[in-house]
Amino acid sequence: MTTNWPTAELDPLRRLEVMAAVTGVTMVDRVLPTAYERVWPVAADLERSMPALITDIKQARLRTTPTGRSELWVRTHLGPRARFDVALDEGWCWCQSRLWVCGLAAVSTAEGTRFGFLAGPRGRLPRGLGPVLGPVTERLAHRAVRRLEAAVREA
Amino acid sequence: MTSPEPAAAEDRPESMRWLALVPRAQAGDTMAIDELVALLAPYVGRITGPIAMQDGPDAAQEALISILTGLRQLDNPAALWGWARTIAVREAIRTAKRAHVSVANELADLPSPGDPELAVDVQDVLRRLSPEHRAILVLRDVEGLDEQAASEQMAVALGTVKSRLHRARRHSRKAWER
Repeated sequence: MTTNWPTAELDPLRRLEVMAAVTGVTMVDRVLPTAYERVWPVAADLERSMPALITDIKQARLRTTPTGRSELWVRTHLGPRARFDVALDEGWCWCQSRLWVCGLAAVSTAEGTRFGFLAGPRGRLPRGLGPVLGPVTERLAHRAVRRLEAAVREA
Repeated sequence: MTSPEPAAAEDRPESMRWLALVPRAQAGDTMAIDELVALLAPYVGRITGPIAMQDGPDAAQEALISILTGLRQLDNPAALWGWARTIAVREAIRTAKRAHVSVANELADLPSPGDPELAVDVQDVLRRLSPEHRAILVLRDVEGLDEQAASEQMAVALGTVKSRLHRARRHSRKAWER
């Protein structure tokens, strides 16, 4: 006779909370009154969703390297290009460039979809900069989630 | 103290990829950190689930935060799983106590390995145990640790573990002979 031990699942939102705690970047989340099946395809289409979420980004192109890794090449309105490594899965996306990290997560709820987002500098910040930058990245993240909600409505 | 590796084969990824991820994560590569979270989550969840019960996901989340934020302290990447287990057990007990999941230890003794009662209704057995007792049960029955290793993991005397297990066998036998 085998024993069915209970197990604890780590859903994508909890995974994003772990990444937020480890990277020190503030995460925001919000319940969108739309089904997950409509929200996640919009969020996971990074070439469209990234410029919508982060207005500094003018253009984003997703490529697969010969070794099978995904990369997102972004161009900002001011001109500089940046390459992000990308891990994309169902309800989950994590991106990292040399200077920035960005995470998206979504889970289905009774009310619709709980969507989480974070974006901020990668690595340890110079002393004193964290408390200044924290509220700024949080405000931008809230704005990004509102933009995603609008993009979902339009889709 | 060297922590034993997880006994359950399904807990350890087939490839040794995780071994290369540890130094990358320690150097601040968040792609490696994310991959480690994904690899460790099922293992941590198998420990925190039975100990913290309905608060198992909270405990798993806290454990993973603790594991990954403290990763720089891990000198030997090969010790990752034993180290993760120590933290997962500690966080699960702490979360269960904080959430008042702890009961008055109605079932003072632990069921013996292979006890039919465990197979029939493990949730009920777990509900009647304190978080510490649940932890010993998980270390023995899920992780497959022996008494010595379980006592090291729980930082309790070997005699304490032995007496609990001895009483458990007697208790269980009596219950099933009735």
